[in-house]
Amino acid sequence: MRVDQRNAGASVTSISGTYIVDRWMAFDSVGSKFTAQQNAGSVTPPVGFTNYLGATSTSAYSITATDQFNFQQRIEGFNVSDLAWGTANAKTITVSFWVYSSLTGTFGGTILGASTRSYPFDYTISSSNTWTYITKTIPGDTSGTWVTNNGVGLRIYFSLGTGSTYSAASGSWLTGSYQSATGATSVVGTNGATFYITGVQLEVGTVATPYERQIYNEQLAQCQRYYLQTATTTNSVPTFYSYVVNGVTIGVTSMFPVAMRIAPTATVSGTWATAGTAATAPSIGGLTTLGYLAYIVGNSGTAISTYFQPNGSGYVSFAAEL
Amino acid sequence: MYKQIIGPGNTVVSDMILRVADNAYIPFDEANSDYQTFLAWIAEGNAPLPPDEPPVETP
Repeated sequence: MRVDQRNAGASVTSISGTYIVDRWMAFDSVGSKFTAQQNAGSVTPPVGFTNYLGATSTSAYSITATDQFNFQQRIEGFNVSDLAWGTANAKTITVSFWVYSSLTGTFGGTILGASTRSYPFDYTISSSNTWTYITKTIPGDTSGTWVTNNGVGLRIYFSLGTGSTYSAASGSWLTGSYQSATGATSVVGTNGATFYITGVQLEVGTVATPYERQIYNEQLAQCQRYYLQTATTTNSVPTFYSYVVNGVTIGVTSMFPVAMRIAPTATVSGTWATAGTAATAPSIGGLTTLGYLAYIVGNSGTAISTYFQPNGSGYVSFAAEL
Repeated sequence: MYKQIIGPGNTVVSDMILRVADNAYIPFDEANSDYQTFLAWIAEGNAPLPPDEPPVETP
């Protein structure tokens, strides 16, 4: 929960299936029912943690049958292929996490596969506004088709309110895209209710081991396989300096710090400082999993020094999310 | 809405499309969900805008 390239700790009010902290998506079937933020509410995380993902309900919304409000993470097939799910050798997993809520009761979530296989689970928060450590052991699914390449291997959901269409009894594998356990607490049902989570770990076996610590640059690189964003600092990459004349294109090839999952979508945002060349954002080309080409076109009649650089807010993002 | 892109050499890029709403460059990668959305949009009978006029090279 500590890598937050997109929002840098800011609150996200327009959820709509967007990522909050890296790799963690918030989803709402109806807008403006909750906000999400790294370290929302600024409570003290569990011992050993510095960050968590938080949701705050903004109304007392009565969910309908088809409503879906949740935090979710999609895990690449390569990273769960060893589970052998969909075979007779399917391995048991244990999911562990810390949760904190202003509400008490039974909460829900699910493990969901690509071929509409799901395992709803529930867990209990007995004390409000207290971090609670949860472990759930889930038998491997011997049925269904589970993706083992760079597609979506599995998804894990933590419900913030799920309608009856997407809820089912907890504790067994089902055919269907169920996202929570029947009867689970709806966080969005109480105005101002909070739900915080951190330390989510999925591991093979029946025992939850302590959360595996990783040094920051390793964790950042793992996130950058799915999303990365250039800095907005003036003179930072990508900055172009050249001598260029009208109509002449200059291009710069940049390599990603890690191989991205797929050729990513590149979005040019913010304002850019320019001199001696086209006063528009750079164009992007040659997108692959390994890098990209950024180019600009001169518009001066004579060769002059030209530059094009972020100006405090300009950046390029590359998204290869699942 | 989508728009074709002029690349280096002033030719229309054949492996990428621009999503106008957010200035996003979408590679033609089957695994890219944005590309899948673009394909669905095309399948509905839509067509991307032509590219911007390429800059004119002057001596």
